[in-house]
Amino acid sequence: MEQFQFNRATTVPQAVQAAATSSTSQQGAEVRFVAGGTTLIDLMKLSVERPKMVVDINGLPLDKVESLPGGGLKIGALVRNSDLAHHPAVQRDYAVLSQALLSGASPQLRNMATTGGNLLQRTRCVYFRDTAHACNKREPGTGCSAIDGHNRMLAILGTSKGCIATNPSDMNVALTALEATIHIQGTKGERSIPIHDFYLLPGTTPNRENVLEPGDIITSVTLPAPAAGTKSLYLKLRDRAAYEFALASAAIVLRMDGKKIQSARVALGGVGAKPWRSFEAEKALQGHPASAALFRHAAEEALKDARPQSENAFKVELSKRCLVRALTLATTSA
Amino acid sequence: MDFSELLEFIGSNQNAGEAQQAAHTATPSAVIGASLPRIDGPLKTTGSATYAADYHFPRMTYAVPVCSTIANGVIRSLDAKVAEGMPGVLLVLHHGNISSLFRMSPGGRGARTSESRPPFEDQKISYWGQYVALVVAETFQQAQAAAAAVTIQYDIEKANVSTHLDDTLPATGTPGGPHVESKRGDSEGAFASAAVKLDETYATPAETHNPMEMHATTAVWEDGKFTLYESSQGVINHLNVMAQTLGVPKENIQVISRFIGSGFGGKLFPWPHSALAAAAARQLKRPVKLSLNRKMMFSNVGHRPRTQQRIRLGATPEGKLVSLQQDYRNHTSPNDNIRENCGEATPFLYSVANLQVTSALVKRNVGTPTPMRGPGAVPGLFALESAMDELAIKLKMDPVALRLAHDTLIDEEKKKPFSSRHLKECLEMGSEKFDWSRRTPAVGSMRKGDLILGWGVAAASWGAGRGTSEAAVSLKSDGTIRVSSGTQDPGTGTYTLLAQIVSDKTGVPIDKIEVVMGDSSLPPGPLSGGSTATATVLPAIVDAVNAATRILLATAVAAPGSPYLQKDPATLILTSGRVHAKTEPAERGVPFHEILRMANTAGGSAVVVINVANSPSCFRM
Repeated sequence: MEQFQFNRATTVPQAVQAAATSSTSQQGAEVRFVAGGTTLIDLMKLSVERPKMVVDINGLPLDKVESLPGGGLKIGALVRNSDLAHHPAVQRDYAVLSQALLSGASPQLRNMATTGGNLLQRTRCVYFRDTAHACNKREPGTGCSAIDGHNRMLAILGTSKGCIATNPSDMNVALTALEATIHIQGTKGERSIPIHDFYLLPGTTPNRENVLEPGDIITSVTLPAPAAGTKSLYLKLRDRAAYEFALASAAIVLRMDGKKIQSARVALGGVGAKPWRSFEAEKALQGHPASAALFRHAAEEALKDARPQSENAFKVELSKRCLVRALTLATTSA
Repeated sequence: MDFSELLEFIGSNQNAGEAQQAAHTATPSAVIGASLPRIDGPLKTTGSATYAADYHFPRMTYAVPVCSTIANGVIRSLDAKVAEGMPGVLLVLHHGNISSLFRMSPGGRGARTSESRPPFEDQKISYWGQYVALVVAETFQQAQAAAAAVTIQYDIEKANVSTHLDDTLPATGTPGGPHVESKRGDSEGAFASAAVKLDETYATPAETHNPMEMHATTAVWEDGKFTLYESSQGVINHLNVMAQTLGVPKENIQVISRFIGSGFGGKLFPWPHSALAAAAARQLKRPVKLSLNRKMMFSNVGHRPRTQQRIRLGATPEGKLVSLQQDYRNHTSPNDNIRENCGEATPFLYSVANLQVTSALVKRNVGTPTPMRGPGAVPGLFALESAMDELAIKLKMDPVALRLAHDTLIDEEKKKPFSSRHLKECLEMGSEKFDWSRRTPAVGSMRKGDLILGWGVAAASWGAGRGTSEAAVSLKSDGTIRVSSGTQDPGTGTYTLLAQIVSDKTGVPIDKIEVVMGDSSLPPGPLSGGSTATATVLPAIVDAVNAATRILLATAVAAPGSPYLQKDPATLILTSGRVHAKTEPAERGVPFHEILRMANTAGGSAVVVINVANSPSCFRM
């Protein structure tokens, strides 16, 4: 049991100031924000997270979903996952996001979890979450227990010799396919980062998961206006039908011109060290008439650099079939 | 423990004598078979039901165990000085300072514990998580913080937790070697000469129970007596064990377990935390509350052990079994030899002249296994039925047809006819309902839209056992009935069953029936295990109701002012809660509690204690 200081921030600058004193905002941070607490509290109980100060940000004015003048959507960082999933504008214009959110966790968790928190959700790797085992993400240089251990749920894309952890979020995969932008307030003011650039690959520093610096707080996520005729869909494959993480998932955003795929955005979940935007699949799909053969070709391209582990080689084929099925569903339904 | 051992333990009496039940034909009932809300439902949904960790007493203290971080070795040193000096810490118990806890005497009946080794008996570590110390403090948080501050140095030895149970063992029938559980004919010879052979090994993993409610004990020690609030599937057994473990007379212990958040077999027999909490309460002279955390539920309160089962089937090309061999092993703890009785159903499920079942134990650094949901038969049938399926594939035979071809109305092990057996009907009716004839055996050949369908079949069998039980029924002058037995409700609805049966027999509505269970001071009731409790306790309750009714009717013909004064009690009956002549409708009768008031019976109640196993019944007023 660790002692820690508990503060409440009433303004965003106050939150920034409190977090700025931390030496890092990555693994090992001394100052942590708590919103829904559905990741942080678990990890504190496991002694994986050991902050000296916890700052409650639930009172900050970041809980609105607003339409933007250009037609896009602005989602406050404190909007709860269930509220976001059920928002009429999201269901109408960004169906993949609603579907992804509703496929994740449980109703109770979705009621507590926030947009910002979900973006920063941590890996479910059992070795990361158990301090009895060596883990490079938790303690750099100590080794990766997963590589020769139980790794069925872990990644096949973007991994390194030091870490094979998956990003387990469904929402992040949908936001990646939607090309969301993350807005951050920090010690040097505001900045915006495309979600694809927000996450870092493990490489030799798996303890660094994203580009956040000490003092940074995510304030909102914006989505571009959907083009007319856009269809989007999220397909999640997993061991159980509910309350279970993805073995493989696919988020797609398609615009058709008759039978031809005019534009495609593809992101894969359950298989990547970060939410996996597949430019390879998009390149294979764009400008071509939809067909089973095309979908399969795109899937092969998407997974061509996959590095399977001892227990998850099945994910290579499963992820391909997931993408093919998602594309089929998106192009055959009305 | 195999199922027959469990039944023996429960106390099934083969020579019931005068207590034999006459055959009853079921008469229609408004209560039995009705869809009733559980009588304990409102208590549970309002959070008023008291579970083991819900009790609060003045001067309450909180205990948190310290668990071993090695799986095999010895404690070289244990330093509690820092912990003892932390805020609120009252006591740190360990091998060096715990009051004596004793082993169970061998050969006793009705007292089975889980781990034979009392906690802290020595410095030896046998499994990861084993309790090595207990911190007791004024608050839970203080105890938890101090537990983390106890430092232990271990001499670590190589642990064996291998899931491959291929250890070389001594010869069959010798100590430590496989044991022949069942044998008929010449299974080896028949297999060797069989035209069609199947030889496969199946493994099932360890399974922890993990009921919603963690194991917990609130221990109170006062004036030399213990009151132990537990989460137990067997309060009577728990009492019997604690009397030996703590070294106190049985009458100085009361075990209470009114509500439990499920057990699944893991709460049948006491675990070491119970003794630790009780010992701490005795040493501190203050109540102690100890609740396991979820992590401890994986190492300290038992599990279904891993099994590895070799099934060899020999058959004729036409599909007739000529040999069935099941050679199984399970892992067990260093200190206890616990067998998962995988071969329980094997000897009687199918007709086969040549059969052998052998069992073996392999030692691992794991906690002591315990019954878990259908112990033995569940993993055993998985192996046997998987093998039968694979044999059907080899024979190109329908798996239902293969099983039907080996149905038998004789238990070929005991060489006796089954009193009833309906496996054939299950298979035939099931086939019809599933349209089984439409099944095509080629893998992936059945489709429904985008879905690939697979249809399978497996048989299962579980013994329907009964034991002995006592029950007490009181008809009270306030119009209510109190029924009690020292059994417990593990979440299966025992509370409601008892009210239901009393209501059915007396016509008194459910809301006027008080059910009291989960207390070792009550007439001894059954263990809630093996799916035997209902069949065990209900007949005792029916007998008790009938006896109480006889007293009531005898009272009705003797009570001053009774309309039935000096009538023959054999002409009277109790229905709808009223005493009336058999020839008149119940509405013309007298409510039972008015009869009791007329008679001014002592305490206004009639109490009958019935012991089904022994005779005679005894009556108390």
